[in-house]
Amino acid sequence: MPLLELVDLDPDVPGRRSAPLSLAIEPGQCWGVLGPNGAGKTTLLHTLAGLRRPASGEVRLRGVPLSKLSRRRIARAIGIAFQHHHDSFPASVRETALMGRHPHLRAWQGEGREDHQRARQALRQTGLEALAGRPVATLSGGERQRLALATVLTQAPEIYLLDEPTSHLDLRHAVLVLDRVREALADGRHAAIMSLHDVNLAARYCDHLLLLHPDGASVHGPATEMLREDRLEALYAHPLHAVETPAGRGFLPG
Amino acid sequence: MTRAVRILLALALLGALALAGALLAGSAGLGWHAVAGALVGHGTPLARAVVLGLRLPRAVAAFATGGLLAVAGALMQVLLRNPLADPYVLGISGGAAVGALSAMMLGWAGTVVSGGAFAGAMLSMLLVFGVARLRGQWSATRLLLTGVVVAAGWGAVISLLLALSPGSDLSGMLFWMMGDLGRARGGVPALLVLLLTLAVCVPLGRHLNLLARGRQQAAALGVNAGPLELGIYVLASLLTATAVTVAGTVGFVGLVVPHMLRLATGNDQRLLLPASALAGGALLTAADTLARTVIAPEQLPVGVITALIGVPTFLYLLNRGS
Repeated sequence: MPLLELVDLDPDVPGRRSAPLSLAIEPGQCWGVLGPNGAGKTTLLHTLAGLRRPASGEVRLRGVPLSKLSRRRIARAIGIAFQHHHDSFPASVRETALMGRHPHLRAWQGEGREDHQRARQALRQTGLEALAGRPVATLSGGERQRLALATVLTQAPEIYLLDEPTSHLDLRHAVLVLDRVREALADGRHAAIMSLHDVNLAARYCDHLLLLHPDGASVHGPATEMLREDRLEALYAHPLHAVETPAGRGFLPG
Repeated sequence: MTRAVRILLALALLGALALAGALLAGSAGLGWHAVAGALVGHGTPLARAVVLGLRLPRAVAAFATGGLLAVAGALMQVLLRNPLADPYVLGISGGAAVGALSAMMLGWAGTVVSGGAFAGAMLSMLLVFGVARLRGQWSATRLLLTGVVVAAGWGAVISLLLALSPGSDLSGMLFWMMGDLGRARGGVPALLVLLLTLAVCVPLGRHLNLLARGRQQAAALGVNAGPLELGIYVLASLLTATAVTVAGTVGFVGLVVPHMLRLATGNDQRLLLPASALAGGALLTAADTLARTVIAPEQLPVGVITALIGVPTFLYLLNRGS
């Protein structure tokens, strides 16, 4: 049974209808969502996390529609790292990573030693261990973005939804973050779906791709089939050139 | 002993000192021996009348009101995702004041004024909630705007009532609006409300922590944000209504206390809420003791003292924070 299933899904993108989207995400797969600004990548990810109701169709988690599951049950299975963060109140980096344990704890239960250990490990994996005591407000954009991933790693869901996990990140940290995602999928029981703007990172890390066009049309399939000049040129409405490099096939804007 | 327990014990000690001060201070000239005796039922009838009949109920009312306002403020700040929110920002106090002043204008006193205050607060709560939800889901910004505008409306009605009132009523009205514990009754029920609230909210502390990060982040981590927000709104409104019913609209406690504690201890609601209750209670009890002793036998409105302490403290913290 697929881990996550989209059935005739039209995520409710304001101001337009999308062609119904059906696809199945199997354990171990890493999906990339590509598309120009405003194509509905964020709306799709929020819908997959059960945070928005779709205009039509449904999302199923191991065969059960999300609308039939409690928020807590969903949060144990699906973790999402947002693109934007609202830090109205002071909080430390450590506390922010530790938030991820919430769906696993009962109301009265405090965070235990194991929870702290998971948070510490997630901060280490994302290169934030030295900043654990710092107020979140003092982080740079890239550090804040890595902290969002650390929170999701602490949450340890089955499905990782990542909204532009590499935005604000320098080259080294972008690779570091995506390596961590691949590690999390290595046991073959987890899956990831992430929106990306960098076609080359998508080519390097994703085995499946969903191309979202701004008019609501979409195509999806194995990455090798999707990463073609004609498809990408149509997607971004801009000429592209494929180049073969020692690190694999890359794409340059024409 | 964990840090949280140490902080709460220190604040509890502060509260106990404030209560002891409230029982000892006054013009009857009772020493601590006489006061302690009266508390356990010994001593002269005069000492018992002063301590058990006057000072103790007033101190309990002050402590409960301060605690209620501080907890209501902390909850409002989470609800509106705004560290500068206070219990009165959504117009609860304006509605209560209109209710209380109308009752005074009609010549009523005591329970009817308190009842008017509570009714006005509830009316304001329903009004703001209804209008904020008129067009589907409310957002924190929409709720805040609605509340602020409704509060401004109440302000106009209050001015009108004051302008139309005979001079003999004015001083009582002004005292009520600045907070007055001189006629305060109902300290024990208010204290029970406070304890009940903490018993409900502290276990929900982790949920509140997440809500402070925004509705979406909270929902993504398994919090049912909508019902939780509604619950906080109703609860904070009830706490505020109870507080203004007991003591009038005492200012600054609800804004300054949670803000001060947040700067000192962080924003974990599991610690912040009980700490606010203790610190708010201690602050208002001490302020009320000052209010009735500095120019005795005359009394100052307690709101003047909390503002005198609150304004400079708040400005200091705000500037230090940035």
